[in-house]
Amino acid sequence: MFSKLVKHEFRATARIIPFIFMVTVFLGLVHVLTVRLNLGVLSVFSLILTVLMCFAQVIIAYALVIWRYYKSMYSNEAYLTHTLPVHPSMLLWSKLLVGFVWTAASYITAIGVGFGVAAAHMFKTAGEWQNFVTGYHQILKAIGIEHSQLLMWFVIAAALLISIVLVLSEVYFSISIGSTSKMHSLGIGGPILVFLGTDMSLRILSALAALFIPLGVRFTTNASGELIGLKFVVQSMFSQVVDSLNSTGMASSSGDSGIAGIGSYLLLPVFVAALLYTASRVITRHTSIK
Amino acid sequence: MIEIQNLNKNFGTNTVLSDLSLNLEAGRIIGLLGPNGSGKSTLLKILAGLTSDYRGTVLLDGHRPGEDTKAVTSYLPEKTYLSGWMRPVDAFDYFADFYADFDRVKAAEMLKQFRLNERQPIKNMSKGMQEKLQLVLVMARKAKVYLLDEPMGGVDPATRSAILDVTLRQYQEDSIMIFATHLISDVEKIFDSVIFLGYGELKLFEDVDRIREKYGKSVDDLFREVFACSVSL
Amino acid sequence: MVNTVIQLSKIKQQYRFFRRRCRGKGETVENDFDSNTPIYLQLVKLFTIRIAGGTWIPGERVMSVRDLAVEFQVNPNTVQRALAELEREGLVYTERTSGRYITPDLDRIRSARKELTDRKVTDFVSQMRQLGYDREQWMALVEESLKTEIN
Repeated sequence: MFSKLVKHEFRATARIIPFIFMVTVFLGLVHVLTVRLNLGVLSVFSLILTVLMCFAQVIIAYALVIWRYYKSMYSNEAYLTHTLPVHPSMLLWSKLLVGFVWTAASYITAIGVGFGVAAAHMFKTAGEWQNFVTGYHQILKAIGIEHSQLLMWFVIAAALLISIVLVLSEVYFSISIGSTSKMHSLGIGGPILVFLGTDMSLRILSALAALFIPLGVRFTTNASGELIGLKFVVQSMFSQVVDSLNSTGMASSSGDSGIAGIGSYLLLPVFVAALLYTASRVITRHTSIK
Repeated sequence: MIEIQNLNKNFGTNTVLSDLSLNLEAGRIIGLLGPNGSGKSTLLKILAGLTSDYRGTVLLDGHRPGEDTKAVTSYLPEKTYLSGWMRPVDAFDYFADFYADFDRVKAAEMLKQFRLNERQPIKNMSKGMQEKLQLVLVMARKAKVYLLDEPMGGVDPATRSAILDVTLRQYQEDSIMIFATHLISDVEKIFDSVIFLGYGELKLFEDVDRIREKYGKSVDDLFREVFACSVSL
Repeated sequence: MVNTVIQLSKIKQQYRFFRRRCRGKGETVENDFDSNTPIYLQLVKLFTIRIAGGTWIPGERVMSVRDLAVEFQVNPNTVQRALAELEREGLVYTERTSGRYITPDLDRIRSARKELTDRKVTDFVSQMRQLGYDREQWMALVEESLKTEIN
């Protein structure tokens, strides 16, 4: 049943969303063409358009995915969705999966087109490409992660994907809670209020987690402010603040170090799980379609 | 087959269903009658599983409304619930995928009888055509419970007659059909029994022939009597 | 493939009613039931007339409950009740394996016809009396109206 839900969810959304991606790609190609043909002003114009579209399509993808969730779960289509012989939580999971795929695809398209456009500009010759690669390796060396660059890219990609899941979870949660019968009188304000409240609470919790959870990255700078080291440490930001307060006046001229707490990132999966579990329960037990 | 005990439902401060208790047997066509806002649609939504937020007991063949009951319940709401881009073939694909009891051949034939085009998107159909399509989808399923919410509102008399035909054809001895309507005089001849719902309360639940014998009145006349005071001028 | 064809023809048969109504050949659909009295009794009377008049042929199979329900647009259980009543009166019988049949007993049918006719005649006579006609007068009226009626 789950695969059928996913299949039909794609069918319903595949009419519009990929179309947006194609627009972005098209604009990118147009720009590359203008560069190749040396069309001057037109080139600048199409560059601006392409960059704008890259950002816009991510936002549009999110908006369409969110709109689809609301429409199929709480608007007229809900009469079809909620009478399907499936467990109500499967509705949530299938829509989350499909929403995630489209949103991730929008990021990938944006990055892809962005990189493609940049490449068209910067790498007109083989020499330029070589310079770029050398420069890239130098930066990696400076930060001290030259040999673990794959890990770094992996972490960046994972962070991006998790942030997508977090946003979607927050939104689906807000829509579902905001559509329960107690909130009917608020109309569309219900989901919006719930979202604002949830987002704020999560940010506060994140900040607290970053501050107090004993896990961080210690960065060390030398006297002239250059970054000379990064290291994972088991220490919280808060204790670092306490330490530095205790040792006032001993700021050495040989450099400084600080800790960026990363405990908040650990909490992300916990937040996501809590949001989705609660949304799932609300959908199963408190659905009240108007 | 359908057991309802002390059903209560509020929307905020509004009480929509108040302490409702009913026992409905299989093999019957039941009319659900009441003025606008009396809770008929809400009752059907609860039976269909669209509203899980209520107090009291509701059992269909011993099960609470959920995954199992939805597989054997065919619900026709007043609203158009299909996406505008869908064509009848798409809707058939959808139903065939999720409902094991959906008869695609029968659906296609019924569609032809109603003179609808299989490939015309719903957004290009008139309201009457959309209603007919939704009726086809509901009746092409061999379900145990049929819930029809005002299937004849806004349709011409010839189509009303066709809808009654289809409903009667669909009748089976192990299934139950609940028909909510206000067009009582047109329809009362097909009911076994009727439920009068007045502002969420059960006013009457009686076999139709017994009403005719006991009161010497038609259901339509009795309805007017019972609800005369609830219509404000 | 063959199964689908058979299925399709069965379904087409069921929906022939749509076509009947749409043909516009002025087929009278007897739908004028009085909702103030039990419908099953009205059906009993209607079926009796059909049997007495020979529209339903003695010894033939009775239409299915579902078909009758659709034709008259009444509840199937009501049809069932009416047929049960007819069975009690001996106008219809059930063969356990094959279904319901109209009685082949012509005497029984004739007596049902007589009963209906007697009632009609009694009603007519009493109405004529109420209108103030005596026997000679109303007999003459009947003759006259028959002459003008095109057979």
